Order: sequence, then C-alpha cells, then structure tokens
Amino acid sequence: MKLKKPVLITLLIVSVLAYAQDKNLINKDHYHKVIVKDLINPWGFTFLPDGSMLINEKDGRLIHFKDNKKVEILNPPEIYLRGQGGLLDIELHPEYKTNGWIYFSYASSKGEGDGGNTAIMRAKIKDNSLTEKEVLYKATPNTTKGQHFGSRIVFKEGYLFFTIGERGNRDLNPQDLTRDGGKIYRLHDDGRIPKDNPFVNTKNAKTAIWSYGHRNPQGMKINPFTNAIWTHEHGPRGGDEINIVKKAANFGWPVVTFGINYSGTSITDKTDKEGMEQPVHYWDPSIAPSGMAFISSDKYGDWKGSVLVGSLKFQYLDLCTLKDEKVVKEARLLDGLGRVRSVEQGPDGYIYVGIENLGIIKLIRGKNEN
Amino acid sequence: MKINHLTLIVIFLCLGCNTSDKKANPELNASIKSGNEVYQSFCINCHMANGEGIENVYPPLVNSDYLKENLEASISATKYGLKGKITVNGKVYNNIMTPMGLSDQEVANVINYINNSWGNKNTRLITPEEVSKIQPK
Repeated sequence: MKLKKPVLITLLIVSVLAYAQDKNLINKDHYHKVIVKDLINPWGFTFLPDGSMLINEKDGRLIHFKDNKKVEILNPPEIYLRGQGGLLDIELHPEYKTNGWIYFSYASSKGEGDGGNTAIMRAKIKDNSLTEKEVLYKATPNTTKGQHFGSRIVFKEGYLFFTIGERGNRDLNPQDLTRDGGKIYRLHDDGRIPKDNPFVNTKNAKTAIWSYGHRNPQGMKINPFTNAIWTHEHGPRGGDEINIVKKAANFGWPVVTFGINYSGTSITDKTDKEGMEQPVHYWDPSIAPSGMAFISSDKYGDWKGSVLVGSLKFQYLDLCTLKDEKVVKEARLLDGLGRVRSVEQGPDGYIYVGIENLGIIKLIRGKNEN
Repeated sequence: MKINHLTLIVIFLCLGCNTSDKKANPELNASIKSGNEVYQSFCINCHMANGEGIENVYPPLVNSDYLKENLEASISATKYGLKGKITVNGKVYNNIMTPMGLSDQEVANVINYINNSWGNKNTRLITPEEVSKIQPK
C-alpha cells in the first residue's frame, strides 16, 4: 500500500485540481416555495388528476401528498435497498383516469442469486393500498453491486419506455444484447414485447431492448417540441451526457466516451466511432445528472423550450438553453439547496423539483416580493 | 562456507523485510482488499477516487480529522447513513448520506480500506463484530 513519493505528489495535485466546481453562472432571477417538506430522497414523483402528488422515497415508502398532508400508501413494491437501488421512478399511464394504472421502477432481489437488479411494476391504488401488482420486467442477473440501476419511465404513443443502468459491469453488459443493463427498453403497457422492437429476431437477445450502450440513465423525458425521447446519463469522470434516443442505436459505452475513470486513468481514447451515436451534450466536469424536464408552459418567459437537469454532485438545477437540439448555454438555478434528484413540470405549468434532505419545491421566475 | 553462511543470512533478512509488512496482519490486508471493492461500488461517486470528496459538498476521507477523531461515528454513518451538520478539517458540511445497505462485514472492510488508503494509516483491524455493536447516532 505504500506509495512512492512522485506518485503521492501527483495524486495530491490531481486531487486538488480535478474536482473544482463547474463554471456555470448562478442565475438570480428566480426563487422557490417549499411545497412538500421533510423528504429524504424523493427519487420520483408524479401528479394525480386531482392535483395531488404521489412521491417515491428511495427507502421504499410511497407517499400520497394531498391537502398539505402526507399519507403513506400501503403495500408498495418490495425493494432491494442497497447503494443506489431502492424505490425509483413513478409514472401514470397516459389513460390513468380510465384505467388507474401506475408504473414503478425499483431495485428488486426477486429471482435467482444474491443481490438485485432493476424491475418494472404496474399496480393500482385502492383503499390507500397498492393492488393488482404486476411485475412487467425484471432484469437479470442479480448482483450485489451498489451502482447503476437507472431508472426512469416514460410513455410514448402508448408504449412504455424505461432505462436500466449497467449495474457496475461495463465490460459485459452495455454492448451485449443478450444481457440486461445499460439499455433503454420498450414494452406494451401490459408488459408484452412489441413485435416491431429492433432486436426481436436477434438470436438470444433481450427482445425488450430499444437502444443500448448506455451507462446509467437517471433522466428521461419526451421533448414536447419534437416528440423525441431525450435521456441523460451518468458517465464516467467528465463524461455525463444528454442523448436523443433512437431505435436500435448504440450509444457507445464503454467503447466511446468523453470521460475517464474516476481514478484519472483512461477508459478509451475514442470519443466517436462509426455506428455509435454522439451525445447532444456532455458535461466535463461531470455534474451527476438526475431528473429532467422540458419547460413547455408559459410560466417562465423565454426559458420556454429549455431543458432542466438536476445536478446531484454540485447541488443545483441546470437550466440548459437549447438551439437546434444543442445546449448553447447553461445557468445554475436553486444553487446549493441540495442534491437535485427529480424534476417535473406540473399540470399547472410550474416546475417542481425533488431535492434530497429537503422536499419538493416549486420554481418561480422573478424576484421574491414577499 | 563463510560466504554461504553470509548469503543465507542476507537471503533470510531480505525475506524477512519483504514479508514483514504483510505478515503483520494478513487479516487486515484481506479486509482492505475487499473494502476496495465496496468503495468502488458504493462510495466513489461522492467521496471520489482518492477520498478527496467534493469541495463544500461531500467531505474528504483522506487526511480527515473527523474520521480520525470520530471513528465510531464514521462507522455508524457507513452503516446507518448520516444527516445534518458535521465539521471536517474546519469546514462545515450539511448534507445527507442515505443508508447504503451494507452488511457488517462490508462496513468493516470499507472502513479498513479507508483507514489505510491514500496516505491514511490506522492499522487497527475493524471487525464485523465491532460494527454489529454500533448503534445509530
């Protein structure tokens, strides 16, 4: 374990220089109101038709927030609480009003072997309890690794899309279509595999796969202006990315990346390769992105059309101004409030942000006159 | 014969030198090795590759007065998580570390790794039994 002096000095210099904050400027033209107090890690949340909220706490509690009160919904998904795993995203079926389906992503230890992997469940709420639970997907194999579960859920044109991270096994999972992890998946809303999924005729492939070569996507939304699926993902050091998801596309991890290992050593010298997609944007230094929302309402003036991305690492909400599907400017909102985990545009057009160790806040543009 | 004797002694001494460090505590070394795997999977995202943390956000583990002076609290944080203000090397950190779901063995291993990495030196072996007795702070 003893290090030679030059190595030690190099390490010290690297450690002092490498992790400075990024250079995005602090925006002061906004303030916030705390809507839901006292949450530990609001990993995902969504709005019910009556305006109340369903909130996933990572530790496994499902909370219904209505009339300023928190009520725990009983019988939530059984989770594998370890490292980055727990109760993750929540999303309503587009026709929730008529069918009542609620979708969850979570870490589960179901199946063979120690450990866990990401699962997708749908269920309904009846008498304050989850019922009619159906597991629609469970990634394999289980592993005791603590990292890279993903996971976000969106609906598009009646299909269910979700992300699963590469579970800390970058050399085996992301580029192998016969293995789970490091993928974006597409299913029918009841879990069936769509016949036109890209790899249904590929030998031994996991046929739910829609795109591959991902690392750990913890943000996914439909861009309401283009109807494309946008994701972002945690890259290695200096390699967090925004991507526009395409059918059958290979996003390159770990063959191509803008990042390096946490230790400072190289993963690959390639940042592009034929047949592999280029990101819309990459962050260096990494911001550790989680949660994502497009501003499509008229509540924020010329911020309309921008995309918001939470930064866990530097604890702010990144306002990314877009032009021709590129990030042309970034600004720091909600600077230093805490680790930004989840971002949603509410039915009232306002942006709501889930912040660890704080709660869910409402973002308001302008000066706070109160 | 004299040369042979001398050679033997030299060889003996060299062997002694080479192995003394490791032989001193094979159990600790094995724990550090396993602890490294836990660190790479659970800790590195925030506390970074060399335990330096992130300025004003996540406290350092390398050369940390908090770790040295509050080992029990550090083990407790690794086991149960940590919330609220702590002061590390004169800087206040007010954040949250959610429980990682580690076993007592894994907590012991990763603490042994942290205690003996990047220039940190604390060769007292932390055992799973010791971890099992630690209560939430």
